[in-house]
Amino acid sequence: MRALLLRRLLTALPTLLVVVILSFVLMRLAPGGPFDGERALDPATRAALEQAYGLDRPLPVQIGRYLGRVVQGDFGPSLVYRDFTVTDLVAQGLPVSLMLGGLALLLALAIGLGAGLAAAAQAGTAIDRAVMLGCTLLTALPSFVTGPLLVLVFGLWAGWLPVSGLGSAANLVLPVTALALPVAGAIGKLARAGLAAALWQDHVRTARARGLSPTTVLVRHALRPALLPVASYIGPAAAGLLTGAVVIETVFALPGLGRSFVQGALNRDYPLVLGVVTIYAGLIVLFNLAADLAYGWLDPRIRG
Amino acid sequence: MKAARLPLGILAAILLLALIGPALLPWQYDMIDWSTVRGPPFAHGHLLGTDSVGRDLLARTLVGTRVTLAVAIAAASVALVIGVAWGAIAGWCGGRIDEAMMRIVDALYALPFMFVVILLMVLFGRSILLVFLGIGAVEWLTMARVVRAEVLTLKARPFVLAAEAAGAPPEAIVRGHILPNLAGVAIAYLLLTIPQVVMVESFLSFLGLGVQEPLTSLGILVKDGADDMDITPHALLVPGAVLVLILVCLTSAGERLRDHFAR
Repeated sequence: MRALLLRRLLTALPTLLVVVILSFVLMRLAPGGPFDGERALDPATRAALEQAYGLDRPLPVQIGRYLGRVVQGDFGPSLVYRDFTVTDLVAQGLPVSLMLGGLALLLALAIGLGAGLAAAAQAGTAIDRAVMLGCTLLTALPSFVTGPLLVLVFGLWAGWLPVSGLGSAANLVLPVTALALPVAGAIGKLARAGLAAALWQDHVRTARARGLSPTTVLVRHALRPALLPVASYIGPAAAGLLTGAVVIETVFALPGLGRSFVQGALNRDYPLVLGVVTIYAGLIVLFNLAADLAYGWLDPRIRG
Repeated sequence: MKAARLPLGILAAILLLALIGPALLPWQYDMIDWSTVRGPPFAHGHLLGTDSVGRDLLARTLVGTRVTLAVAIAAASVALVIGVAWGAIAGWCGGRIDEAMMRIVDALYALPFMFVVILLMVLFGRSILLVFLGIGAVEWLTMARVVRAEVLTLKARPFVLAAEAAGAPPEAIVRGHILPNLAGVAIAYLLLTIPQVVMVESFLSFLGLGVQEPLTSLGILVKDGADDMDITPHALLVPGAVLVLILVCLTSAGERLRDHFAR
């Protein structure tokens, strides 16, 4: 298990490095620079500024310096939000995004596993087909459609829940639901498929032959191997939740990282966008590692 | 094949409506009717009413569908070409080349793609050409994996071995025997790539980073509808429903074709 984790970590770090370097080089390739204003600078001032910010050095040196600062948690100043560093903005937004994403992942697991179990227990019946059709629909519903729809139905028409801001727990109900639904659909499909396959394995057949009740067989014997495809989906699910959060935070006016990312992107705030991409890449790598851990826990054969 | 008929039929109908529909309407998608702003359905001859600046919603939905589908087909074709070429070369050459090429695909899979595409949009301006080139360039990975696996099994099939034994040059075998037999799987995964691209494009346009005004797409229409949903809820519901219908049909047609060609 430790060897597996180490190997994964060794492939994850270069990926992270590639993301950061790629983003950095793209940023430098882009037309327009930080000192291109309405008034042309005289060459001496420009040279002095470029020297002050290290922009006169060759690209590899600049990348090295940037990486050195990133490792220390310094992403540089924001170009648009004056008086804030990118690190400040990340520190403000990240907890909100993590809470949103974490709650959504829990909700998605609860709904998805419930749906998968219900469908597999009734395999081949109308209930099975209806649940699976529901899951397909959920995966096809983008969060930027479900978000406004939930606001319309539960916020504006029924008036049950607040639709924006972050004041109380009630504020989180709609955004977390909108974020969780597509992931829940995918988890439901995977759990159903995993369970259907697991129900034909020898140890499950033995358990059934010993006269255990169908529920016990399903939950105690078939569930664990059936969770493998779900576990391997945690990485992509985390990526999906992070991307979804960008939209959901914008729709529900939540002060998270995703919203500052979109604002940064619309305002061409390069250091902010670069910093957030780096953070997101790091989070996705972390979640992929978590998926590997879960995988090893569920299936002792691959602990190695 | 039969099973995919219904979703493909619905898609064909949507495509046809999007292509010829706008020409049959008295309103252009960017024509402003100052007498009807945020009009309800059937107001002043606007079947679906008008948006916040008095543009006909039916015309905008049809044109938006057209733009969304056009971007999706273009981007998916980019992904198809890169993916098939990459997968076929890796599968055909095998050995170290295969290993190296597939490692690159594995590494790219771990990238946060949506953010890389957004980064591209931020850095190089928001043009519709870049939207589909950018999306196409990041959506080819699954296609490459599937095509490689397919080529590996084809390589061991008797007719390919026979062609080799008969002394046919490798290029002729690839062109004459491998590529034609890839068509089924490639089409199935093309159909599964298109909804991914539709999703990405609408996502970007929803955030204001994709297709730009006055041109429109389903993502922009959902965004505009969401802004005005307290006054004209149908402005959100109609483009949202079209988008979801397209996604569901493409996904289910793709899944059925994939299962049909799966061995």
